[in-house]
Amino acid sequence: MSDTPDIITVTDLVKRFGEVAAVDGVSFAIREGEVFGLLGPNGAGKTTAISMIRCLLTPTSGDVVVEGFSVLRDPMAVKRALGVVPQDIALYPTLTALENLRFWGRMYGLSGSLLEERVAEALALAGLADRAREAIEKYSGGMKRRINIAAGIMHHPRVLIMDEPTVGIDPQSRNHILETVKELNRRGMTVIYTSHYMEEVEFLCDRVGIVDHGSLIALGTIDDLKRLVGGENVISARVSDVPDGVLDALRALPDVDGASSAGQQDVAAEPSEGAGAEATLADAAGTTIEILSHDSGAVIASVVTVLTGFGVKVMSLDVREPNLESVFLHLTGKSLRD
Amino acid sequence: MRWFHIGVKDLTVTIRDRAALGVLLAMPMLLIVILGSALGNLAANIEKIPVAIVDLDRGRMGRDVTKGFFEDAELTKLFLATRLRSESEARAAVERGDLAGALVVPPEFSRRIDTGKPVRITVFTDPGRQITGSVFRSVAEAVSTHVSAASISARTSACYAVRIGVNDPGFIASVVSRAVRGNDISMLSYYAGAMSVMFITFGAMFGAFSLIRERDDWTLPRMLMTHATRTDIVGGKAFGVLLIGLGQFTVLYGFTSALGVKWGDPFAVFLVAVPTVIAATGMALFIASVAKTVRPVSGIDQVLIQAMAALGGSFFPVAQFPVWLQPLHYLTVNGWAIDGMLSTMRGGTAFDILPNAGALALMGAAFLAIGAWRLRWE
Repeated sequence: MSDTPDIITVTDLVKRFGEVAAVDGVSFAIREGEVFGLLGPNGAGKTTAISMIRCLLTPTSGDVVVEGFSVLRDPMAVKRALGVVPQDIALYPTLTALENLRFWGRMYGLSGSLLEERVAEALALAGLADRAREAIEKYSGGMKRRINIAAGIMHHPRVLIMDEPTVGIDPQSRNHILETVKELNRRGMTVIYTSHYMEEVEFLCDRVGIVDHGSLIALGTIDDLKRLVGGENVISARVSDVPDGVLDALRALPDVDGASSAGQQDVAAEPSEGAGAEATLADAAGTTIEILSHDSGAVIASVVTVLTGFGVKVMSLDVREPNLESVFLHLTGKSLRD
Repeated sequence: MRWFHIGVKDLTVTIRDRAALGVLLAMPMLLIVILGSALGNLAANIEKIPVAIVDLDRGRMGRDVTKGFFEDAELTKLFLATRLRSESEARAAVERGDLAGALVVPPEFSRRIDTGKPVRITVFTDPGRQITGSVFRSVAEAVSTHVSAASISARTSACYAVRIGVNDPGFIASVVSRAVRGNDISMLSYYAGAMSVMFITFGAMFGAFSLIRERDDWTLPRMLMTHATRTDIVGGKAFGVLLIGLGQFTVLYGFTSALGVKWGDPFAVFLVAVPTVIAATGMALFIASVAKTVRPVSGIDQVLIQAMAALGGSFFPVAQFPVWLQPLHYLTVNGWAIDGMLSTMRGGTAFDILPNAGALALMGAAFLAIGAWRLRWE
């Protein structure tokens, strides 16, 4: 993969909104045929960077070149090479899946028998050929997302940009979408995948760029990134609550390199619809505190002492190998979901 | 052709929206029937029309032409006539809006008729009083035509000219009937035009909603990420509003025709309807360009569309407005459109409504240009 040519080159990309730099001098290249992950917390600048690659926003400075075409000088040629799956479900709810796909196919310049062929192909990929004549508004969230993806690949783009395509859907649809991404990549499509779900990024991506505060703070394969953490392990404590000051107390312990907390948000356990249901689940499962340490064996006892000293009930405690979450914690001192 | 597909898609989305269909079709149908029935026919609603009669002839024929306005039962029911001494005085009163019209019989009128020479009666009408002015014009023109006939016949037989005098009660009744009722300007006809125009502009509001909703729902940004250009998208959205407006007008035209409304020359009606819809389309783009979210559209609707409807005569005939308010209807899409439609109902041809079509097209072009220039895409 390392000797394959670059299909996208991002050079010193900057986007300012007034005084705020949403993207601040980002440079990276994406190789043809790879799945490239862009990982970062909400508001890190992922979507702004992606919006400039897909010609929706004009860079304040810098440039993006896609297949040799600059977004500044030849945006239409860039658009022809790109397929985009937006974060929101950008479909017409009262139209059927068939009508939506035909419409978006026409927007990509398809017509006649080629259009019908691509519509059938997109419906098959979404696994919804048998429900093609139903209005989108009658679909579940996951089914809508699958048609949302299908609408972005009608014109067989060389590069597919997927911006958080699994937000708020059931595990079955999520798995279908992840398998679809794998399948499209097997067919030769380069994929840019943004998410704040590290599990998805680890499952799909050949290389990952980590973005925080508008800057690219790390770039490499998942193994490369994990090596950044060195010999550190993650102590994961499921606790009843996180009182003020407890994280600072943990960070002050010798041999602790970072500590963060996050509500229980495992994707597999996340309900498809309804914030209320999600909150109930999180309350029942408690909160997770993650502590990064280069000597986890020595520090566990001190961690428990600190937690109990703050009156925190520890429900479980385990030590695991670093993942992208711990990489982010290592690099920034905070959780991806902070 | 992407603009075409965007327009057809918008039409399909609107047809499937029952609430939109209710507002765009059911409401105007209901209002046309209710207002048309409740307010009766136009003649019953027109108070006596103030006019001036200037007889500079002071001869027998001048008396014949003018005395009907003071003595005839039919004409005095319709007109409140005042004698004035000079043409300039009458003209000034019409220009000030004090009178709906003035009829001037020139000096030497009788002598010229008696000797078979051409004569000309002058009629002034106030363009701000579209209905009452036209009623007076119709009566005056009929009188003038009648006098011309008398003049021609006078060249061969003076006795015959006397026999067909303009104060002939049968003639007057026929003229009044033709001016008021003969061209079908019943209140049903009036509101068929007025409500159609008002609800076409409401259709434009839906167009504005649609554009903002597409921006919020990410379908507009998604379109921008396809191969469609901004021109395709603006053109397509405008084409959609145009299709919806034309479809809406066609349905209302069919419905009101079935109720007995005589719209007049179909080509002339088409020539008013299309620029009306274009002007409404321009308004849609203009509203979408100044409103950031769906909510302000409702506010702008109140100010722009309702004000235009009120001033333009969609709620009540402009002729019943205070005189000082009447000219303002020329500032509105509704005013020009309703004027044009009433003109076709009265028998106007495509040529007659060209000024209306031109004014509407200009308004549409101005709104479209400002809207396309100011439109926010993100």
